[in-house]
Amino acid sequence: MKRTPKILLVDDDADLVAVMRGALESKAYKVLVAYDGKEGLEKARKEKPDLVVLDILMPVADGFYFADEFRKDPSLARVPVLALTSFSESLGQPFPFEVSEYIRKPIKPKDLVAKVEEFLRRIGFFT
Amino acid sequence: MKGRKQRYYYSLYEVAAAANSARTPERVLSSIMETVAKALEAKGCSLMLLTPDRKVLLHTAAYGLSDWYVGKGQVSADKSISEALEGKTVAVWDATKDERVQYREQAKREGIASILSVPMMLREEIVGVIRVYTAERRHFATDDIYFVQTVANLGAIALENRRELEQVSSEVVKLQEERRHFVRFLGVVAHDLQSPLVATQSILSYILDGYTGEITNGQRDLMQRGVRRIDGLLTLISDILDIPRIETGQITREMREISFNEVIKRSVEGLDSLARQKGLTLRVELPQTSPKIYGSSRRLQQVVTNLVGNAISYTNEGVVLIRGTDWDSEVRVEVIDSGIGIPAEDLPRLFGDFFRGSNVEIKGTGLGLSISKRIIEAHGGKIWAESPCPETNTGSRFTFTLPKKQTAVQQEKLEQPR
Repeated sequence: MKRTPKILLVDDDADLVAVMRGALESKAYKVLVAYDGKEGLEKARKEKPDLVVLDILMPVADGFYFADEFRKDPSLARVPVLALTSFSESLGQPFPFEVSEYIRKPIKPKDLVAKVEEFLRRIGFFT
Repeated sequence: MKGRKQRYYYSLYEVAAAANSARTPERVLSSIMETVAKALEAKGCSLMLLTPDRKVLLHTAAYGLSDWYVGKGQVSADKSISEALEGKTVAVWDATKDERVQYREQAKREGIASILSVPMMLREEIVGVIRVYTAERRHFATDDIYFVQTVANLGAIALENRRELEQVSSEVVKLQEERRHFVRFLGVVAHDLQSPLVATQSILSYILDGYTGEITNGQRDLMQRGVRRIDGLLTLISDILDIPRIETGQITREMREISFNEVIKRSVEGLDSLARQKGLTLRVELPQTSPKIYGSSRRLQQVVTNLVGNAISYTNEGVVLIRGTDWDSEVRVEVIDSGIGIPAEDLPRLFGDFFRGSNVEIKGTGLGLSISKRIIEAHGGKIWAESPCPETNTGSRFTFTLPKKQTAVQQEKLEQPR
C-alpha cells in the first residue's frame, strides 16, 4: 500500500454509516463520515479523500447536490464516487454526473468493502 | 309549399351537421341561428339561455341583429319571453305595438315586425328560448313553428352533450393531478419505510459476516431468518409502490422499441441457476428473427421473471419451457411447466391482488401476478393462465400477448434447447 487510503462516507443514516465504517476500518482504511451533502463537501475539500461512498437520496443537501459541487471542484473532480442507490430504483432520472459506479442498497458491508478494494486497486493503491 | 319543406329539410341537415362538428360552441350556435333565420326567410334569429341559477336569460347567440339590439337589456321582463319560459310558443304579430313585448321602440328601430318565441326544452325542463325575427309582419305557419321547435330540441341535446363533456374532462384532469400527487407522496413514503429496513439488514449482515466477533450457530440461524423477513418486506414495499406507478401510466415513459428476443433472454439469464438448484431444466424457444415490440424492457423482464419464477417454485422436476412466438399483429409468450398445477377454483382469482393459492406453501407477496397483469395491460396486451396445460395435460401454462411493431430485427438465431 502506498499509504493508508482515505475513504469519505456520505450518508444520512447513522446506523448504515456505523456498519460501513466498521467494515472499512477493519481493513485499516482511514474513514471520514458526513451525514449530508453539505458536510460531505466541506470534509472532502478539507481532507481530500481517495474515494467517496455517496448516498444519493438524502433529505438535506442530497447526493445530486453533492456530486454537482464535487465535480465542479477541480481538486476533487477526479476522485471516484461510488453511489448508493436505494432498493426501488425510483429515481427515473439518470444520475447526471459522473459516478464511477452504482451500488444497490441494501448492501452487505462485506460487499461494500470488496467494491472499495476493487476501486482502490484500479486507481493504483496496491501496486 | 314544397319549396319550403325542402328548405326545412336541408336546414335541419345543416343544423345537425353544425351541432356535431368540432367547431367551438359559439360558432356552432351562430351558424345554427343563421340556418334557422334563412330557413324561415326571416330577418334574424337569436338564442337566449337560462343561467344555471335559472334566474336570467342570457343572449347567447344571434344572427341578423345589430349588437345594439342584442345588448339592449335584460330580457327576463318581456312577457312574450316569460310565456315562452312557461313552455308556450308565442307568436307576436307586431312587435312594435304588442304590449307583451317590452322593447317595442327598439324593435321598431331595428326594423323588426313579428317575433316568434319558441321554448327550448331539455327533458321537459326549460333551458332557454329561440326567437325568430321578421322584417315584415307575418303569421308564422305551423310548419315554421315545428321546424323551430325541432331545432330547439336538437340544440338543447347538443348543448347538454357539450356541457357534460366539458365537466367530465375537467374532472378527469383533476383526478389525474390527484393521482400524480399521490404517486409522489408514495415515493416519499417508500424512502421512509425502506431506510430503516435497509439499515437493519446491513446491521445483521455486519454481524453475520463476523465483524463483531464469533457468533454461535444459533445466533447465525436466527439472524439469517431476520434478514429473510426483511427481504420479504422490502420486496412487498417495492411491489406496493409499483402498482400506482404502473396504473398512472408512468411506465409509458420507459417504453420504446425493443427486441423481443432480448427481453426473454435477459429474463431467463437470472433464473437459470435457480432452476438448476431444484434440478429443473429451463428451455427457451424463440423466433428466428426477433420481432420488434414497443414497451419497457425492464417491466417486461419483470413479468417474464415473475412467471418463470412461479413455474420454478411450483415444479419439482422436469422442464420449464419459455416459448416466444411471432404472430402477425402480436407476439406471444408462453411459460409452461410440469408442476403441481393450479386448482380450477383458483384460476379466476389468480391475477387478483394479494391472491395466495390454496397451496400456501410457496412464499411470495401475492402481488407478483397482479403486477404482471397490470404491466401487460399497460402495454396493450393480455395475460391468462391455463391449468392443466392443454398441450401436455399436466402442470400449467401462462400466456401473455403484446401488440407488435411491424419491422423485425434481423439478427436472432433460433435458440437451441438447453
